[in-house]
Amino acid sequence: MPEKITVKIKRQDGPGKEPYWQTFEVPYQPNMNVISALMEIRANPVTADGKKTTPPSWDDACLEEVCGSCSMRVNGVARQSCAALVDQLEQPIVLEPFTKFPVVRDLMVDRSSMFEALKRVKAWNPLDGTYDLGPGPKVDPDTQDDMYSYAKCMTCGCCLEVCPQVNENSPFIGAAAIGQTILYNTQPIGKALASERLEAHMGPGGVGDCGNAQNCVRVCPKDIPLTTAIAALGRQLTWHTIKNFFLR
Amino acid sequence: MNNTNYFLLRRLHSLLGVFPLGVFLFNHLLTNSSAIVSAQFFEEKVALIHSLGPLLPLVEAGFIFIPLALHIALGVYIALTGKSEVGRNLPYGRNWAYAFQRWTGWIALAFIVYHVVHLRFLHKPHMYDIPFSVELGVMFTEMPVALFFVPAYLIGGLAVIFHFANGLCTFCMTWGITVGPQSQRIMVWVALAVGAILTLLLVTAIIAFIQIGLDPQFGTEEFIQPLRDVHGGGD
Ligand code: HEM
Ligand code: SF4
Ligand code: SF4
Ligand code: FES
Repeated sequence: MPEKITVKIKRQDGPGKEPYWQTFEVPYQPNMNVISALMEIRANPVTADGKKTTPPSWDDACLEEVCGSCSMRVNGVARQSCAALVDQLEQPIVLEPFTKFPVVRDLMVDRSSMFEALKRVKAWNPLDGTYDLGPGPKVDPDTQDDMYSYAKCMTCGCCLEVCPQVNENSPFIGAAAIGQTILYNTQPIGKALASERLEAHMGPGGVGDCGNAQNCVRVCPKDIPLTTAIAALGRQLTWHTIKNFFLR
Repeated sequence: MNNTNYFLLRRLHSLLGVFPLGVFLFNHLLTNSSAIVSAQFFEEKVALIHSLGPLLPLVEAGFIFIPLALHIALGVYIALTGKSEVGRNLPYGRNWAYAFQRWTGWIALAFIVYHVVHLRFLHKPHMYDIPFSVELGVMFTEMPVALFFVPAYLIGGLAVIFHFANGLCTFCMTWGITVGPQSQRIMVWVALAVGAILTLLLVTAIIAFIQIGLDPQFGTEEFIQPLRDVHGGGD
C-alpha cells in the first residue's frame, strides 16, 4: 500500500493561456478515484516541491459515469475521471484536458461544439404543445434494444477526442452526433425528420468526413455501436441520393 | 459549397478509387507480370493496348488520367483535413490503417508522378526504338541505377496496393455495404486476399524484368530487333 500517490496535471489559467505542468503528492486512501485525488489537491493546493498554488479546476456531477462531464485524458486515455480508480492506474497519474475542445481552465473544457452538432442533425423528436397526444407508436423489442444502445450516449466527447478527423483543420461533427442521427432516424416519431437529418450530413462536417479509423467505438464508455451507425448512415445516404435522383 | 455537391464529391472520390483506378491497377499489374513468360510475350500485350490506335489517348484520359487527377486532388484535400491519432494510446489496427491510408497515399502520389512522367511521357516516344521491356531490363539490372529503381518500384507498388486494399474496406463502410463489425471483419480477409494477389503480380513483374535484364543476349541487336518487330519494326 503506497503512502502517497503522485498526480501530474496539465494546467491552464484560462482560454488561450499557455499550459504548464504541476506535480502533486496526495495521501493514499483505499478505493480512491481520480476525482477524490483532485479533491485532496483542491483542499491543499501545494505542489510536490512545496509551492502554494491555485486549486485545480475540473468538471464533475454524477460521479457514477453517466453524465460525462468529468471526461479528460487520464494517462493519455480519454475516459471519465470519476470512474478511473487510482489502484488500477500507473503512477504518476497524468491528467490532461481534452485536446479537441477549447480549454476553459485546467481540466475543464467547453464541449458546446457537441451540442451544436446535435442541433445541426436535429437530434430530437418533433413534438410540440402541452396537450395529451395519446399513446405513442408501438416499437418492437429488437428496435427498442437498438435504440437503447444509442440512447445511452452522455455527450462525454471521448469519441471526438480520439478521432483523427476531429481537429482544427476539419469541420467534422464526430461520432456522437452520428449515433444520435441513427437513433432519431429509427425512432417512429423522430423518423419524420429523417430526410432533413440526411441533408444535414451531406455538407462539410457530416458523416462523409469520417475516415473510418474506428477509434471512437473503441473508447466509447457506453459501448455505443458508433461504427455501425456510421456505415448505416452511409447506407441511408446512398439510398437517399439514388431515390432523390430518380424522383427529380 | 452546396451540401449535395460536397457529398457527391466525397462519394466520387471513394468510387473513383475502386472504379476505374482499382480495376486499372489490377489490369496494369497483370500486363506487366506477363513479362515472366518472355519479353516477346510482354511486348505483344503492349502492342494489344496500342492497337486501340487513336482511341488510346481517349481511353487513357477517361479511365486513368482524369479519374486519377480527381482522386488525387480530393485525396490530398481529405488527407490535409485529418490528423493521425497514432502515438496517442490507441493501439488498434484500424487506427494504424487510417494513418497508413494517408501515408501510402503520399507515397503513391510521389511514385505515380515519377512513374508516369518517366515511362509514359519521356520514354514512350522511344518505345519503337527501345521497347519497354528493354528499358525496364536496364533500369532493374544496370548498376548503380538498379539500386534505386528496384526498391522504388517495390515500395511504390506496395504502397499503392495497401492503399487500394484498405480502400476496399473503407469503400464498403462509406457506402454502407458492410455495416456491422462482423461483415467489416470478413471484408478485411477479402482485402487481404486481393492485396496478396496484387503483391504476387507486382513481385512477378519486377522479377520478370530483372530476368530479362540478366539474359546473356540482353542488349544485343538480336535480342532487341524481334521486340521492335512486335510493334511493326523500328523507326
Ligand atoms: C493508383 C492510385 C490510387 C488508388 C487505386 C486509390 C484507391 C483508393 C480507394 C479505393 C480508396 C477508398 C475510398 C473510400 O474510403 O471510400 C481511397 C481512399 C483514399 N485515397 Fe486513394 N487511391 C490512389 C491514389 C491516391 C493518391 C495519390 C492519394 C493522395 C494522397 C490518395 C488519397 C486517398 C485518401 C486520403 C483516401 C481516404 C479517403 C477517406 O477515407 O475518406 N489516393 N483511395
Ligand atoms: S458516443 Fe460514447 S464516447 Fe461519444 S459522446 Fe456518447 S457516450 Fe461519449
Ligand atoms: S470511425 Fe470516423 S468518427 Fe470514428 S474515430 Fe474514426 S474517423 Fe472518427
Ligand atoms: S462525474 Fe458524471 S461521468 Fe464522471
